[in-house]
Amino acid sequence: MEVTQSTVSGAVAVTLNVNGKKRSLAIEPRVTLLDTLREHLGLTGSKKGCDHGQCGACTVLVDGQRVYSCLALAVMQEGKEIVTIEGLAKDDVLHPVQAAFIDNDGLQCGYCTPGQICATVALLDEVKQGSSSAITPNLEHPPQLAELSEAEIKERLSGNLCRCSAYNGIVAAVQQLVGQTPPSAAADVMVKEMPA
Amino acid sequence: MSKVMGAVNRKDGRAKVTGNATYAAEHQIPGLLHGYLVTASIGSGQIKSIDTSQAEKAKGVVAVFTHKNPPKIFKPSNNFISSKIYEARLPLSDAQVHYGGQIIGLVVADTFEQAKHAAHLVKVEYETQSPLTEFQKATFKEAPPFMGEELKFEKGNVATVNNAAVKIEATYTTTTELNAPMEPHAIIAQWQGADALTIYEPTQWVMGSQRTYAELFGLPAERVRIITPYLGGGFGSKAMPWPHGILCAAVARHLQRPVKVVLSRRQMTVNAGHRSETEQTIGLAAAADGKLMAIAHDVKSSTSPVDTFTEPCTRVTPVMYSAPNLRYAQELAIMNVGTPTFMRAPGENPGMWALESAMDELAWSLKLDPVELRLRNQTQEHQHQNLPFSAKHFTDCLKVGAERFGWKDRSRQVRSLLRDGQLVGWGMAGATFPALQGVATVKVRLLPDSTVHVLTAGNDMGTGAYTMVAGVAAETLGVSVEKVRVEMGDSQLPDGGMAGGSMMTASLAPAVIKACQDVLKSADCNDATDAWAALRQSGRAAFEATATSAPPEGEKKWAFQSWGAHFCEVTVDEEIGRLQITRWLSVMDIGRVMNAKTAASQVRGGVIMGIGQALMEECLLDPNIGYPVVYDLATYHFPSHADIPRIDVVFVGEPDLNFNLAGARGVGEIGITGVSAVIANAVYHATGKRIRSLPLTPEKLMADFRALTADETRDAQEMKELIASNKSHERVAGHSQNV
Amino acid sequence: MNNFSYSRATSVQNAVQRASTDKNAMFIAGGTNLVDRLKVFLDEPSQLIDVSRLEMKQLEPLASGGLRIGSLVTNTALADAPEVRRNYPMLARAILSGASQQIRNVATVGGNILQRTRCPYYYDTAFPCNKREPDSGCPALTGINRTHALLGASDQCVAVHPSDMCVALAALDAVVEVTGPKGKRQIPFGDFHRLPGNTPERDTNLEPEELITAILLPPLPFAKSGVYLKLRDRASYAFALISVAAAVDLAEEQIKDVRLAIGGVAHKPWRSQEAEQFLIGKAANAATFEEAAKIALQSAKPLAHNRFKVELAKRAIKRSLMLSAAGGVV
Repeated sequence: MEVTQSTVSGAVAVTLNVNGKKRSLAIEPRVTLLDTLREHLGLTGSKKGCDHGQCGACTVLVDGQRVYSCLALAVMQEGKEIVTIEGLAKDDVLHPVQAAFIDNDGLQCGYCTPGQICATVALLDEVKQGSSSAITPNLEHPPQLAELSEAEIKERLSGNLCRCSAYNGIVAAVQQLVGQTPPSAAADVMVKEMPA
Repeated sequence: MSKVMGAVNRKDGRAKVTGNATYAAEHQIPGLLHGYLVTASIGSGQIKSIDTSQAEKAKGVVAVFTHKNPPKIFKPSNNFISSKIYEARLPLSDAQVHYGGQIIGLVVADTFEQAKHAAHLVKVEYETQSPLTEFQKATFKEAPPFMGEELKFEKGNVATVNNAAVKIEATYTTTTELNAPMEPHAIIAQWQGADALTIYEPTQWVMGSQRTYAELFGLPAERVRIITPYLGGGFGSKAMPWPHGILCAAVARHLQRPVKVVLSRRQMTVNAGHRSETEQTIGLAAAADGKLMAIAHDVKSSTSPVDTFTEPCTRVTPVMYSAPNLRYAQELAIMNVGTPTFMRAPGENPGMWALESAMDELAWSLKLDPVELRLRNQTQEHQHQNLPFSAKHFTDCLKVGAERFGWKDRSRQVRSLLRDGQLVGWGMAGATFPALQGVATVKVRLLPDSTVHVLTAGNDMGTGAYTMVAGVAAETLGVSVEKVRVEMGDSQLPDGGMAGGSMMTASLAPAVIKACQDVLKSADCNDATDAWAALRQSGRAAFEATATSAPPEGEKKWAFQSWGAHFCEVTVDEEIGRLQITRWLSVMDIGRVMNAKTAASQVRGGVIMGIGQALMEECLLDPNIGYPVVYDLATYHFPSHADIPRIDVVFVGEPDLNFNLAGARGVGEIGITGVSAVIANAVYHATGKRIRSLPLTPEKLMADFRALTADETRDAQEMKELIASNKSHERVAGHSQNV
Repeated sequence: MNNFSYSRATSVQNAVQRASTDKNAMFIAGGTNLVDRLKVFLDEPSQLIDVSRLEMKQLEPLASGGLRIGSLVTNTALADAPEVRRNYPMLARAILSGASQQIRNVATVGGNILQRTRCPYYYDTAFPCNKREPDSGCPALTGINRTHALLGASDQCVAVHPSDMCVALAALDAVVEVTGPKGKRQIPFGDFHRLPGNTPERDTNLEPEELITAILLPPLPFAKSGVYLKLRDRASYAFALISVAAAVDLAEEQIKDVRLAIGGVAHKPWRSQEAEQFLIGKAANAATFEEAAKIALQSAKPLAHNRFKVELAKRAIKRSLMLSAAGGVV
């Protein structure tokens, strides 16, 4: 590994692999991955909600794992594969997680949505790999995708806050993605029809 | 116009799930400078000296502004009509510090990192005064009217009721709550010369912001353009300019460079509004059959030294339950806190917490089912306005809710239900919010490519307004929703009113209907398909029409109000004070439901914000220093996924055609009202413990939690010495807080 | 954040050597706590030495039957390791109870044990704080102190250690392996973190230029029935008000051995040896556990707002011991 070294106050040359493209830029070592994406690469899909790893809106995938890009220094991400919300859809075809969020109304203002979606993409992968959560009854027997309980989904997504509180819709989106049948996003409307 | 449009996917969904929806701070502006605020680290006092020399020398710094060199700002009329700012004091207007975290400077630099670091280098010395941040120590005086509405009223004479079978009186409190939208408050201000300004800012009220910024800079309104296609939630805190926005725009003019300012969570804590702490005393008197004889409601809330905002809790008192003797009054105190403001159902939310808790207490005292108590006491008229309610179906909310929840199976005893070693409780409460309508204008264009274009400056902060507008246009024109393109949130578009007070749908939908009808009429066609054909034949670029909706004029015949009932189940592990909400049902009467999906999401969002209020939300200031100790999303807890059960939503009632021709009353806020009362009522049913102070934290839920004993506390003398020796209160200088 | 220079260490020796030539340098690995602290000016290093690419990512069995955990093993990797789930479930659960998946994916074991308090007074430079600025005062003592320490605090500092993982490591008698200019040394976990005393600015006994290279976990067969109970203000993604790591070794209803550590109560993960000693040889029942809980908290000195935590801690201890005695099912 080539050793990158900077001097105080100087920008360093950094090459990042973002959504399959090599992006070279000169930035100070103190610049976070989130600010690099938003302020230097024009990729504003990853959101700054708290800037302190307390909300999840900045979640991106690094080498396939979900991370908070606000707590990662860009200079430390060289050689890693970074995928942001902008990298999920293939051409005009939405990623299945994106489509499930729309179907289940798993979003309102949309500001936490990219983070929730990236977290969900990773969650599905983590379950496939057999990861447990704090509430998995038997740590040695983690749940399979098809049997992922509502409680498991919620615990595993709790690092992504949503103030509009589209939580029901997001959980339903995950349930749909793992082949379960979630309750409808729509309310039961018993209101009288408009007069003709 | 005869059918409910059903459940439609969000129009803006695709933009939001792909990251293509552009929020204020994300607009790519060439030559953009970054501003970072400097804020006061004391709770009250004066700036004795402010040293910006180090900051000015720091790399990348373009300028530093303080009260010693404030940029030019005009005092606005601030009358809500021609302009309105959240905080009457203009930023940097003097050396006074009114509350901890107040803005005292702005550093502008080439990059965000440079500006933030330089802001940290600003050194401030203060003349410190003892801040008043404790509600219990404040002086309360009669509150002024709230937006023209008196907050005091009496009919009959509450004091003379002495033949009641049951009387209860209790005091209920709520804490300081933060709106805390996911998108931080942010602004980019870009001037075109000295007399034209473009602002990218999340605002719930595009045209109000346009008028206000115009006054602040001495410009005609049309020289200011506000662009807000998307905003990441606001919940009342993004309707008008805050000091940071005013300062940013002023500095951008001074520098003649585009400047961006984004508030950190810490800065948002005090500089972007909150819901005031409240203390409410409710007195109820009832006959043996449960009929209310008297209601008394006394409220205290607080405001900042630099603006007046009263949390209007008593707006619920005359609308919920009928009583021959009814009185309410509100008091307000000035404290060294940031300026409070509208937060989802201002007034109705804390008001219903108190009233619906008290009604539950009364039901237990009367040994009467709380659903029945409400059925017996609901009022058909607004007891202050003396107007009958239009299309009121509160009874259906209660009855359908009770039926679906299985309420009849509820045990009539507290502490009577155990599941897996935990106490189980059921609770219910009513919900209400007034129906408001503003003036809104919409332009509809039929285009030759067989699409429809709807334009308005009204906007969508996550409510579903894009989808609602598209749905109403599609329905009126007889086309599919996919054919309709909606453009919102730009002051160059027709004035669409405010996304606040749950009134966007009631304001916009009638305007959309009228504009669509007008465009068909002008084309002399019955539906869009015919009109498109005629358009293509005519060779014209578009058929278009603009229409405006407005609240009905003339004598008022009705009071317009929405209704609801919540039912929930909680489990309480009372040994360790752990509460879980396991089941939830909300039944709402909001007039016509425009979209069963987004309306359900609005109710769920309100309920969940209410769950946060009930269980965890609390912003605290240090009592000695006056600066917040709850200041970010790790210290200010609001619900995570794991806190929230499935929330079932049912809508009942009928289209409210007395209100507007869409029959819709709005749904943004009603969901949060009554929520904290339902939970506290369920906790009482589970545990027999009546908790009257929010939030219901573990220490309040723990069973048999003992009072202070000698071996558990520090010796009083030792504590006194500690306080005497503590230097922390004397600190007057040091780093400014700026992160 | 101040501006700093950045370099990637090429080896442990190289990292230590770089650190010894620059007193204001700091190591960075996962950065989930450090970057956060830099953003609020709690640290203003001259340079960051990136150790994240060093070869300290191995989980290896020890000859003794325990486990050697490289300091760069992520929280996620450690919690997911089959031998941890099987033999040290309280450790897996403690880790999984902390923060969120996003943080656990990046946070390292070495970084976790070095994370610093989230005392809101410490965490905002608007306040004086003895930990940040010695002798400036502690406003928490007379301010809002609901989340603050009950045990082992001083009049200088009442902050609590925030880690969940460390509570389990304290119960499990872990050992911290470090490398410094003078070579390698091992620090028993109980000696690693400090109580505030008159030097609240020092959290640990690690020397500035020392680098944590591994955590050693001794074998403990009865840790299989260990539990971790975390109580907090939000159901997930929140720091503990109180947490307990407990494991009970039973021989026919008799307590043969026991481990008990408490989080959220002190400046360090609080191992309660007094309670453990009391329990050994006693019958495993509610009354015994309640008595042990009382002993564990007997020196508690609550402040104005955290008195409930004394009671909550006792109940959590009793509950945890009961659960472990019942086989460790949560």
